[in-house]
Amino acid sequence: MNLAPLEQALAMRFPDAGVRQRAALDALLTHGFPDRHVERWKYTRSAPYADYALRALAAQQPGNALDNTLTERLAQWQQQFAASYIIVIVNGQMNTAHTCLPSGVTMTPAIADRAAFKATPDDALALLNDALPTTQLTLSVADNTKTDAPLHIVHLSHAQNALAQVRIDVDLQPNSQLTIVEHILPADCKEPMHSTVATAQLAQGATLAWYRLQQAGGDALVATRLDAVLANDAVLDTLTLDVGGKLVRNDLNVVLAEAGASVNMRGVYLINGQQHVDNHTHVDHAAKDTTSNEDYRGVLRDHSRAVFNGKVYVHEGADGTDAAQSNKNLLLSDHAEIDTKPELEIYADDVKCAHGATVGQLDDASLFYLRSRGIDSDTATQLLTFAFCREVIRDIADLPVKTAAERLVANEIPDFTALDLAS
Amino acid sequence: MTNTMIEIKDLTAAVDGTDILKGLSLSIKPGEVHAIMGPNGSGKSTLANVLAGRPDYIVTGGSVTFNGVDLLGLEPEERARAGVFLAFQYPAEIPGVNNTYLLRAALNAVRTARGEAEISAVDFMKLAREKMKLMQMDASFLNRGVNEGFSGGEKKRNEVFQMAVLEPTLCVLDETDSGLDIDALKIVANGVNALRDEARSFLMVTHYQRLLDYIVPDYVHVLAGGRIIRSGDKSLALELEARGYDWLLEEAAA
Repeated sequence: MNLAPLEQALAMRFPDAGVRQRAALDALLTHGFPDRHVERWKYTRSAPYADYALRALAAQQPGNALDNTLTERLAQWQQQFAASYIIVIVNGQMNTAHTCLPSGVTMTPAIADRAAFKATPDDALALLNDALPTTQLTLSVADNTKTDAPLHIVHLSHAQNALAQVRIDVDLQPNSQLTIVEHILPADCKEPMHSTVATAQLAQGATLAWYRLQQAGGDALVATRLDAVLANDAVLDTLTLDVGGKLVRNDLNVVLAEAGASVNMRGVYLINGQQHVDNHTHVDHAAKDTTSNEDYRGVLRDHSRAVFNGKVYVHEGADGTDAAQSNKNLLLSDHAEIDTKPELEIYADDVKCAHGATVGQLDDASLFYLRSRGIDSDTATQLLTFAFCREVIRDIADLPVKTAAERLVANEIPDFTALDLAS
Repeated sequence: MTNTMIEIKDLTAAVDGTDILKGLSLSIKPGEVHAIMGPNGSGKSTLANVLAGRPDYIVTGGSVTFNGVDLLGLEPEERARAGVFLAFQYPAEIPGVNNTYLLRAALNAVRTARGEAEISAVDFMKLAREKMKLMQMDASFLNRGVNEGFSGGEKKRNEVFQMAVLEPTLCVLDETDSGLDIDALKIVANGVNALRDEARSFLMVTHYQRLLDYIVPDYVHVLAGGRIIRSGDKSLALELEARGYDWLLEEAAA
């Protein structure tokens, strides 16, 4: 693949490119996009992302203005969420007219260099994001700030070949708390691409929730990444929800750096047709008494394919580690495929670790139980499929987010009308 | 015979290719309570599951007529709507499906089949609370997943609670007494007895005579080798309690 246009584009579009951008580009040019011989890309192609970037760079880039359709889409969205705090990103570029932040949260339209977040040569998507950023922002949450409502980051797009490479860094000062809900809304164009790379530093006692609801479209290319480092007693809570996507790659890397830090990771993916969703997660238990809990579930139809790779690494001396990981998959077609690989590496003695993966169909006993109560077979199947996903979502404390996630799941289950969200 | 509710004739059934029921005949009239007893592996639970239409229980011969309808020709959900209810021996745990949601959907399925209007949310909650009181269940049960995290006893109570709300015509109880302590057994028996009336019938599969002290049956049948080998009144259960099954099995073999 000829990546030289990337270099030309960088010179054209980013005449003031800094060392960081150049370094990322150099790494990309040197190593290229990984093929299936690279372990982290064994089941997922990275080339389509490169192709898209090259196409986007050759095309004229749209602005960050909302057209009528997107204005309406945003209004509809706002009706559902009644969001107090919001950041709107259009075609990968921030539309600051809509920005509204909670008190105690400050935003800077740039990112600082962070030694802890260095993309390695096989992190082509992170490098691409570093090399060609369209939005970069840092959110800082002051000491002891407890935000009173979530900050919603809404991505909208109406332009094919828009370069949407968003970078968000979050700094939570000691004992602060923030919930971010990232919405990748349906794009108003064919074959959109969206990339968010995020990093989060959680100081002592800080709490961050990051819920991502991805519904860009069945023909969308999506790449997301969140790297988080947690200090003493910090808490991270995540949801990665993908309903559809031609090619989706999510990377979630969490370092529990100090004692008492804990992370709860949730994932749900529902795909059909030829769609492809890949979740790679990595948790480092690098200190004593750290806790990780991971529950990822997928529903696969038709010829869709999902990949799950979850690594839990317990470092030497990280005694008192409690790590639980689970990946469950419902294959509702003979042609769907899941490649799941839970990995556990333990170098400490006093640890509690559990991991497991399941692949299967709906439970016959549950199906019969529902039918024996007068529920018809189709409805029972839909109800159980919904319930399977709902288990991951149901303990999300923020009710509008939970409800929205449930609705997205329900909408992906064909003909499912039995959902009574009020129940 | 016009007022027979369910007529089982020469019923044979297999599970995993093994014949379990080998020509079972039984007739139940409205208002009657029949108890089915018998040694392990005699086919008691198979009978209960076959009546409810469990897909992996294959009927190989015979007939079951329920209120004039060929029961075996109906899907499990159609049987439920027609008024057949199975209280499971091992009720499924279904996290993510809300107990209240399921019960209301079940009740509305039954009502729609009867040509009645769906029940309103308010009326349903009123009904549910009334029946929960009968079963001495905590209101928090309604907000939980179906049988999720329930103890064995709670699951059995939940089955009878559902039965009380759905008011089926034929109640099939599959070892509803097993795993219950004496207090829970009394509550379950109370719930069942409250449902007894001249239009409703019960088929109770049980291992122990104990249950029949609280729910007094009109008939007791002994099932062995997939057939009913002896029928009698409640005194037969007492005799079985005193003498075991061996004498009956020997008589049947002779």
